[in-house]
Amino acid sequence: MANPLTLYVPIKQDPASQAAAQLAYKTFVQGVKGGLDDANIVHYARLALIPNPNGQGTLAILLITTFDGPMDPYLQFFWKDKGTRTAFAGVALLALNPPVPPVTEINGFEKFINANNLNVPADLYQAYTLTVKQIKHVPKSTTASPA
Amino acid sequence: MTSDCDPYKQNIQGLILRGYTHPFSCHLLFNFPNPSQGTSPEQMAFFKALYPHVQSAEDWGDQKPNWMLNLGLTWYGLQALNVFEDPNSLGYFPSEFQAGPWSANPQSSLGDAGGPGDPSTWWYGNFQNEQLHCVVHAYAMTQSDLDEVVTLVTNAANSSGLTELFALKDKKSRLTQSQLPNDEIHFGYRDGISEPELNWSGKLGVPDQSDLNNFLVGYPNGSIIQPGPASPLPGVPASAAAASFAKDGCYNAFRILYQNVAAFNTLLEEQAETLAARLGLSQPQAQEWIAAKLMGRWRNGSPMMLSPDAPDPCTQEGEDFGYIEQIDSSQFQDMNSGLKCPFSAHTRVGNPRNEDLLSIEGTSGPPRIARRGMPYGPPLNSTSDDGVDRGLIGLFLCGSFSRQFEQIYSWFNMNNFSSVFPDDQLYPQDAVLGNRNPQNTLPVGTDFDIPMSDSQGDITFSSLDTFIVTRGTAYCLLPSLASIRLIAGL
Repeated sequence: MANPLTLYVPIKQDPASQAAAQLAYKTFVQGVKGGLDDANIVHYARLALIPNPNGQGTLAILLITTFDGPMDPYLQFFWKDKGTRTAFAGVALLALNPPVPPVTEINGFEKFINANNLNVPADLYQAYTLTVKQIKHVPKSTTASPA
Repeated sequence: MTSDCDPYKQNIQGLILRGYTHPFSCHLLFNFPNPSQGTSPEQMAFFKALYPHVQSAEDWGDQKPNWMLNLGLTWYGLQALNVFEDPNSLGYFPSEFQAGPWSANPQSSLGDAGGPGDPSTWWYGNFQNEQLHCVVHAYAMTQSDLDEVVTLVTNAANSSGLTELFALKDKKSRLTQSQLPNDEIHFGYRDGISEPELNWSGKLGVPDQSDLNNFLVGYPNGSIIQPGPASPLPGVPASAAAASFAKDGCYNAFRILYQNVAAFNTLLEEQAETLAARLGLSQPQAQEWIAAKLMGRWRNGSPMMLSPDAPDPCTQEGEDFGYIEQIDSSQFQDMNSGLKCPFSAHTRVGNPRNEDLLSIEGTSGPPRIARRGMPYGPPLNSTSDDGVDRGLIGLFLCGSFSRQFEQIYSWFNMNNFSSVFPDDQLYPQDAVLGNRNPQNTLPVGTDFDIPMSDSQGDITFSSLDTFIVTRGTAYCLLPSLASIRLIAGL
């Protein structure tokens, strides 16, 4: 069973924070790829910038992932991985309402994720129940050879 | 394990550091009235009456108490007691402790939702999950001693305006330990084996999942689990108050688990009839063999890895073993061990020891929990259900519900944490505790596989029945003696 994380964080409007949000958007996939590959439970992950209603600048950061299994027991893995930790902690630093407690250790990280996650598992439609590991599992006998 | 300073055993509730051997116990549930501000004098009086009898972790030497108490508080209980000057302190406790085990994220691991143990059915609907504020654990040497301590607790509760809550079907019976022989639980296994060591010094200074700082709040240095709230934020009194209150406390997943003994006995009986000839055993011997394969230990406690063919009194406390075998040519040398102990045997899933774990499970070995449970309800030695409630009063102690208790529970429900479980088929579940919830959408099967080395191939039990149904769960903090004194106004 996959589960959803829809992390919605309104961000500060000062130029430095706005520029940092743009940088986070541009470097997200590259930054988290190693950690997510190693985790082997994340189906998809993306970061989006929600524009302000007037079209100028960014209102909020939206980080969306779909992953296998429960979330909380495995947040420690993502906190320990440098790439994913940098991404999540970076989003927390830009938050319009600074997280309490600050995202400086695993308990603060867990609270930040739970406090800003807009979805619960029951919200997710899923077309299949296969896990990432099951999907990636390709028996050697069926591996196609290059022509 | 490194620490700034060792904890004082006088400040830690006794059941955290050791399982008691008192043969009688009762677990009383309470709801506090909610005062407008501050802990009410009546509530203080309740804790004042109980405090002298709360057993600490100090060694009692040869003066074993005839009776004694320990107690836990839910997050809603802390809220109702108004123990913090600034209510924001409550927000510094872990998310899952605040949300409760019935909420969406814990249920992703526990897997009760949608099945026969759905949280909406807990406590037989006698009360709402949020109404459970305090659990008092009373232990005694004799029935008379137990009556005495239960009377003390209930008198204190009555005079303090607390409402006692009843978890069983008849709405009036208390959760009382049943007297089964030889420290057994229902299903006939000896219990209380293989507990984490809770060392303070650690093994050779290397952080270990069994170290006490993974269970006790307030000692983050060197802790793998990082129980919280542990680190007060400079200049934030609400944070400091939460950390101070929680220090030397431990969390308890208090879980009432109905055991379907008739279904379990039926499986043993039917499969023994089929397998006895192949195994060269009598049917009673075959039943014991099957029971051992399901659990990973014989009913006397002997681990299958140390005594694969028969129970042995010499190994019944056996702890010094793993699942890696030097003669095994598989990548992680843990596949051959399945011939002795099936990969989904309960004790193996609960503690896979040195079995290969996937990257996502971390690099520190499997998390541990300390079990302090006991059976309730009368025994049943039949394959016909008598309709009587029986099972386990489970006290699962941890420093983090999510990073210990829930992680292990998610393994029970889906065995996908190790490379021993192939990815090209449905994942199995724990043979005994797996939640065969038909509503779940996990890619799991309910067959149980026993690897065999003979020419007839593996043995498979198809479509295992549901042996365990959750009757209720509460996430409690077992606070320090100092924090109980604080609540009592002492």
